[in-house]
Amino acid sequence: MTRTVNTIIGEIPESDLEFATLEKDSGDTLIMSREWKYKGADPALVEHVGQMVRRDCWVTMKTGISLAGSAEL
Amino acid sequence: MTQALCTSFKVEMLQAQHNFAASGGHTFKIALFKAAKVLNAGTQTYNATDEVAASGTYSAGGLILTNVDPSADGTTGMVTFSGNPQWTGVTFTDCTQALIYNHSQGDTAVAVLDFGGNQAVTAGTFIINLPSATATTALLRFI
Repeated sequence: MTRTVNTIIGEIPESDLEFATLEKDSGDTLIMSREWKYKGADPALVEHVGQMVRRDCWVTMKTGISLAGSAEL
Repeated sequence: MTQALCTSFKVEMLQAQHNFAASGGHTFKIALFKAAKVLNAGTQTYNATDEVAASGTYSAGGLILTNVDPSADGTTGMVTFSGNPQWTGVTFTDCTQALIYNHSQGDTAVAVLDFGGNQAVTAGTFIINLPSATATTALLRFI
């Protein structure tokens, strides 16, 4: 059974997508994002080849906030 | 912007107006905001101005956090909510910060979280991984 991924151009077979994962350290947070691009051969979607069709994001809070003070970012 | 515990929350804690208990505690929520929203220690209540637009599983007001009984680690009192807030099928072009607030107490502000910049999401999943409940990392710490 082919797994599909929800994108701005609909549910697309995962095999028709490629993704890149990016990481950015912003001090108190670590940001991970995954950008999905269409690479399929569906004639109806040819205009979307190479286009980013989905982006996920994870924000990891390294530390919370203490009553002893607040952090200027 | 400034990541902070809200000053009004500090006062309200001394007035016993917030209860984080897992059983019988208040309902705390987390909402997401655009860069234009001014959130800082002076924020007193939640309002929807400059909140990210409803999209996917995100709706105005954000989502309810799962309370965990506050605990101690050494001399630090602390609490981190259970699970990581997440929304699926969302599209945000401008999402830079979040507000945790007490929905049971008139939406009074608790803390402001800064994402360290704009975090765009397109038809995807947005997750906030909350910090571990330790004396040096817990989400809310009373040292």
